[in-house]
Amino acid sequence: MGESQPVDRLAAAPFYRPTGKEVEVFEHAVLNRLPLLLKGPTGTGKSRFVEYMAARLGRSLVTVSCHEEMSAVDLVGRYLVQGDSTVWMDGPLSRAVRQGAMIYLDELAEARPDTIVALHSLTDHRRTLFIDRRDEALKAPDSFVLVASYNPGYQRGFKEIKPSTKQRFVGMTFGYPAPDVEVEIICGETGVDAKCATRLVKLAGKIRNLTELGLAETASTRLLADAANLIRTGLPPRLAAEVAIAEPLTDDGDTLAALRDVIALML
Amino acid sequence: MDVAEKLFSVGYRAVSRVWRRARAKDAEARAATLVSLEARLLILARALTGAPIEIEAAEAEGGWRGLVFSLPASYAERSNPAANAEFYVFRVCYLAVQRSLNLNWPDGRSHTLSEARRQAAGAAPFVVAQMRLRYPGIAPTLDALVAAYFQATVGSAASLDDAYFLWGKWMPPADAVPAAVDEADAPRLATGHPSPVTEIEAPPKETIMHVKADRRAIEEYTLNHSFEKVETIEDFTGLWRDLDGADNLEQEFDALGEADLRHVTRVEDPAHSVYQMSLRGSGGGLRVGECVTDAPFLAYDEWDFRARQYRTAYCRVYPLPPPAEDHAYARAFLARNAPALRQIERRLLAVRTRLEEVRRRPDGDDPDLDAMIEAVSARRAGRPAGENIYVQRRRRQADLAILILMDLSLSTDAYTGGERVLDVERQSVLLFGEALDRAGVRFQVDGFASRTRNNCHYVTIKGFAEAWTHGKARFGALSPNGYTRIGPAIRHAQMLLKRESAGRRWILLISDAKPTDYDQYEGQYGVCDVRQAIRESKRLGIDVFGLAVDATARDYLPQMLASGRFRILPRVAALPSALAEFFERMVT
Repeated sequence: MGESQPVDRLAAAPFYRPTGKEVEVFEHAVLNRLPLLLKGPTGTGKSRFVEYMAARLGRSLVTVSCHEEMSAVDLVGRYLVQGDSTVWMDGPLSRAVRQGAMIYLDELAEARPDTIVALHSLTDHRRTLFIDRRDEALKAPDSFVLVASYNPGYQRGFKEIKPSTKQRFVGMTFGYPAPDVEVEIICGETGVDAKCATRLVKLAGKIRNLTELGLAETASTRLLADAANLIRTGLPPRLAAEVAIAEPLTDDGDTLAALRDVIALML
Repeated sequence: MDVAEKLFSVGYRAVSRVWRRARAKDAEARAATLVSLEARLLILARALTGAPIEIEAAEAEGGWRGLVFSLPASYAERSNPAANAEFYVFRVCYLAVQRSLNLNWPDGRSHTLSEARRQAAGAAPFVVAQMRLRYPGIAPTLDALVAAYFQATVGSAASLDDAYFLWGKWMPPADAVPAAVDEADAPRLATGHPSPVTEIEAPPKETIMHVKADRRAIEEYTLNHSFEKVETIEDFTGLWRDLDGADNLEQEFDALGEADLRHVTRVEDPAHSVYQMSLRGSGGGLRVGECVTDAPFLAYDEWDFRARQYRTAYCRVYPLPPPAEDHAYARAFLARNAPALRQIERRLLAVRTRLEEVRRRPDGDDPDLDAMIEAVSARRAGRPAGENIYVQRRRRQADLAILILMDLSLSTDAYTGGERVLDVERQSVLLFGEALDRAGVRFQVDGFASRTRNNCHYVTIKGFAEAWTHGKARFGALSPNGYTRIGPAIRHAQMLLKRESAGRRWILLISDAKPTDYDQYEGQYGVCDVRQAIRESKRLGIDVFGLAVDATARDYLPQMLASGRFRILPRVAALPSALAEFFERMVT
């Protein structure tokens, strides 16, 4: 399937370096019209992957960042009172279904449970969105793709996706890539040389050692890319790593001092 | 001695005393101390090794063994505090590399200090080469330190020995496991002991030796009167004499400075003075035998992480009768803290009202926008318009059961920021309990402390079914006691919570969170047991949330609880609002 895509479409796609079989899995899921759930910590390339796949498959992409105040109405649509009459306003989900686009629900676990239930009929064999307010059943065209992401480590116990929802998705876990792959990603994304990227990746390896031991979130590929960009435009490497990696990770004085030590040792 | 001679010697002594004092003061000003750097170095060590390293103060230069990095208590050889702190960073980095290369004595046989230093110095070039390769940023510090040590002593025969601070010494492996204690010899420790009056910190020791108490010899000892009244120190041989129990530690402090505290025995006798030394990650091989009592107890398993299996029915939990009621304490405290109470109550109320919004009601507090727009559009379209267009806020019982588990161990007797941890702990729980009671939430308040696996005390201050009026009156009588064996307490709490039918069941653990007990329950063993107990809870559908007041909890809590499942409070004063915040997160 990948080979049959026109070349110019891929050229327009954002940079993405596959770390496993995720491209194949995605294509087969789309082929079988199955919804996808991407799991993994922040900054591991989930959103980038979706953008890349949308470009690769030639679908327009509708992205929704879920939050706890978001209701099913926000997603599906609502009537607005306009002058003396009411008009129907499609929400992003209805719009994506009508257009046969790819919808990406980022951080799905953040959304309220009733919002997530609205998705259920879309995610099984019915592939239909019921819009109660309009008494409308919107059948999704074949090109419609539903992708959701969530971060299982974040706020564990407080925000989780119900098993009944999870079971409707094909799941894929995103982790931090292997060191050599990560070096390649950072070079490709930012244009720094391999030596600089290797050092940053080694540094990240040390900081990631601390995940089990205290830091809630750890040095993601995104943070490394940020640091690499700062280095490329001329900031000294240690300073770049401090502001782009250490500072975003922690506010605690001792932890910050220790991270600075690690940075000073590695760069 | 003639007058001139005498004058000179007095003058010389005075001058040299002043000079020495000035030097010492100078050294103090530029020194870096392990105490001030420990938190930072600990994180650094864990980042570099990827293992849950602990840091302890060394006798002199230190080294590593197992999961322990032993570092000098203070360092003042360089000209300013920052440069001296760099020395510590260097040592941690050096030990991390040395540990990854597994360079240490392979066995528990004893080696002399000079052998250990020679061995370390011999391995240094290899470690340094690896260090430069792995941590290029260390080069300036390394070069400066090497220059300082080797140029200062160049040409002198002692140059190798002087560098021992740089290269440390080799240490024997972590668990030179001391012999298990015989059943008959195991201390029973059933009785509480009076709390010591004087406590003084002793110089650190890296290794210990267990010495068995020779009870027979002690009993057969006949009183001798020695006429020489000079206080002397001798090595401990497992023999001691019964003493009058007077607290004269401070008078004898100077003599004690020479005592080599590396011989360890375990006794159950009370002490009035404590000359204490803390020891990290010694493996604490002591296992105590079973002891027989008549009181009813519940036996719980304990997780042995080395064997990866449970020690069945290993711990005995004794549910104690509730403490005596003292209504005056709670009444006075709650009256004094009425504003804080109102604040917490308001927060709990805010959560509750947000929760109990019932939409599409025929009457209510606010218009329901969605319903109203629907009604208007339906009417316009000629369809029958609904009349349920209001949002109603109603009180409803939260489907929730909380068991608050308070650490009552002696560590809560400590003071932080001028306040005793236990006092803040019980006052916060008192406030929180009052607010929970008014909010109609089902909760229980329990406390725990332990003295070996045979004696895990568990006291219910307020039962689920009990009225809060009784519960709150019992807080005044709480007193710190024993150690922190968290595992059995959590397991007992699980057992109590299992009977509750609520949809969400929580254990809220308030502790300094460092698992400690007299017998083996420390370091990784304790942490792994607590983690296992929390896993068991999860399987039973019970969630555990940890709140810690101690800054050192950062070293332990994250290893036991998933992120987002605990909070470490910078000051004890933050506890009441942290409890309210916990409640908000729990119900939303």
